Amino acid sequence: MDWLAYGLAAAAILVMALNVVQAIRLRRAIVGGEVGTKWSVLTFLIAFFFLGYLVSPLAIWFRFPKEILDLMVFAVFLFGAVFVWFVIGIIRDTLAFLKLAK
Amino acid sequence: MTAAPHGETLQQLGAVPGVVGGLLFDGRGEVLASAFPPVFDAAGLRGLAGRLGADGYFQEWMAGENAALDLRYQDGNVAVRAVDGSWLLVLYTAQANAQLLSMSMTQVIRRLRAAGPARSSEPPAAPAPPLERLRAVVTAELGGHAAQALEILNAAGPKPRDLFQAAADVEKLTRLFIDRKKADELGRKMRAILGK
Repeated sequence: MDWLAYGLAAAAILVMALNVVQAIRLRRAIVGGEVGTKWSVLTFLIAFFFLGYLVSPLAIWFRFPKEILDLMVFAVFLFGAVFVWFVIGIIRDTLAFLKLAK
Repeated sequence: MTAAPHGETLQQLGAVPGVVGGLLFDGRGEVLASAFPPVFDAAGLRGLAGRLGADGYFQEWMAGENAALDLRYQDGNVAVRAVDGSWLLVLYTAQANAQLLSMSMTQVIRRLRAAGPARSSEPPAAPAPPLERLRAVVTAELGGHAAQALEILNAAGPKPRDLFQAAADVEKLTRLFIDRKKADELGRKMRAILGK
């Protein structure tokens, strides 16, 4: 069962590493403004998640106590919710821009 | 009075160590006289005069006979002085002696005033329409990022209501994708042009 968890963690780390690269590249393409600020927050959160993903296999390997694992899970829930909040903000701004471009 | 004596007066400024060149322009953005080395593109200088002439804040700050503006940058400094309804702009390096430059500019301004108002060789143009002024402000404020905003302005209809809407859209675009403070400033300038 542990090997399946390691496999999933490795796949998650790989995908998240690509996300970090994409997010940094896109940040350079965005000049600034409200969308730029939100994207900076998203980039920070993606980098934070990436660090968390890197640590997650260690949690299995070193058999972290349940209390710490619970904290990690709910921290991911919280930051995930913040992430979604900012994604929705960027989508709303983008829709506003598309309305202008019409 | 033609621009030639003014040009000769400006040439005298060039003798001051550290001074790169001088430009005399009026409120319509017309270059009345220029004394810059050939490496400075004349169209670029005309564009600069046009943008400053169209800038409401610049006109407001530089109103009055003793108006002065000094801008300091890493690569050079710019001094602007009011001269009887027009402005003298001097580009100089950090090596220029500030006191000597100030005295020289005072002398040059005195000579320009004594020579009388300069006129450009072109007939006086009618005030630019609001759309043109909006374009100039947007280009000056957004620089290389102005393309999308100019498209919005170009697509606007001729009615004042359409221009107000286009100006609001440009402000929103700037706020979303470029800079919030710049959006506020741009919005104020565009509303000043549109009289609201």
